[in-house]
Amino acid sequence: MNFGYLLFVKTSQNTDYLKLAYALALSIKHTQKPGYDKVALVIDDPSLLKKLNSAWVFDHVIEWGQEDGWDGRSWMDHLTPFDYTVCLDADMLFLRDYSHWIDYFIENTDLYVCNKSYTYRDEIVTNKFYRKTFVESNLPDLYSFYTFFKKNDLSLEFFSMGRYIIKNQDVFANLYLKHRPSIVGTDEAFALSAKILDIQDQISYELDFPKIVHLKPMVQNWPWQSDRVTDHVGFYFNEEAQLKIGNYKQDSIIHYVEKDLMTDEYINILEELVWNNN
Amino acid sequence: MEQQLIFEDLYTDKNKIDFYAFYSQTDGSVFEIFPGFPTTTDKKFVKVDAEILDSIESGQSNIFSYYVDIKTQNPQLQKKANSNFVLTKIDDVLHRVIEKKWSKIKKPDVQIKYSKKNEVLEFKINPSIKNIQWPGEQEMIFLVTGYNDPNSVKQMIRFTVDELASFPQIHKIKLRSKFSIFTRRLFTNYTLEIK
Repeated sequence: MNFGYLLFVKTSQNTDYLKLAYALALSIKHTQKPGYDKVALVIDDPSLLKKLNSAWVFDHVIEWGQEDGWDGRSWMDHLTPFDYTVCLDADMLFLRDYSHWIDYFIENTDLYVCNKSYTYRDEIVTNKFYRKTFVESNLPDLYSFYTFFKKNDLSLEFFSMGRYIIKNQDVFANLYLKHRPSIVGTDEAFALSAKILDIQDQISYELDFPKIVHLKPMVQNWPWQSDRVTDHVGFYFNEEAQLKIGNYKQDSIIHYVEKDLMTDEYINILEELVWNNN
Repeated sequence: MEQQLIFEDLYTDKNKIDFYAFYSQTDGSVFEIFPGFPTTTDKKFVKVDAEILDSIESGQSNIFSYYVDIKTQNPQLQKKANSNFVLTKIDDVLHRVIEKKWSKIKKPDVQIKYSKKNEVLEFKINPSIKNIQWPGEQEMIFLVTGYNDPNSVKQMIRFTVDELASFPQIHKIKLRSKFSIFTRRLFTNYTLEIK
């Protein structure tokens, strides 16, 4: 089985996305069993990997910087070195073995895009504060931060449409989006692609997984407004790479959003665990 | 191909609707926000970005939460500071003292050192801040806990700011190699050194 996770990193002045992807790759190596722990990195400047202590956690490094920002993710089907791929956002963290999800996807589907997220208290996110475009434009509620696909005609058609939407976003936004975002991102492009191709039920049906905790502040079911989740609850990452947010132990994949949460201290914990495992 | 042509026909800048704020040129206060077109060049109007529009539309803020900074060459919509509200963050009341090797703090206000050999925890205040005014009777509480786990308290250490200012506070304590210290953030910067 040729399965792996695909991560995209683009050099940015504000955020060290390679550091975030490195932490994620370490956490994948630490938690996933052999055969389910391969990681490929797409990066515009591979020379940056020299600064990492264990760049070997990236099984494949693909030099590519054709698109600005995160638009590159719509090229995931072209760039993946795997037959079966899950493309993830860089600012995520694995906390336990999720390989049984992969077994299901490989067995049962050609393409699956995550359609829900969870609060740190394990509640399904229902607040649409960040998803007004989706609600008002009647788009399927897709999250590109966890996208499984096989290399086949369906995924080629889906991602080709996604790329076309991103390239021609003014046209598609005027045609289909009522609450127009400043940028048509990958989430909107994938949702539009699924809607136009009329495959949303095929690629994003109801499942109890993948479970992703989305740490965006306004969707945590708090009775107050917030700019940062960690203004209100602590982020406690221990020496076994287990995580508590506030008093809630986390088991799902964490999409931590606040990029400065991934410190050198936490990366050192992950490095030591991975080194000891190997 | 046919579909592509239709899309290209539809694409013109005129189809893009932006929003503008109409403001007072004397004090920068905002009167009105309205949809318009990019051809607007009147200086009494500034473009409103999508984030601010979202915030107003969702009721998070209103037009009176903003003003236009008229002193700059390129006036832009700015959010007014709310001087009545100060957010107490979790890090203010339960601050984990970061180990010196991971911290960017060069001159801590309070320095904590642990000697594994002597099993001694020592608290020192930075002499350069001794001259500032502080509530000397204010109690400082330090929780010695499991690593990054404020719920697993090993020991609680208390002394006043005056006591710390007078003498370094030394406590005999046997600790496992990995531990953390949490405290209410009375001073800005704390560091922990383990040797």
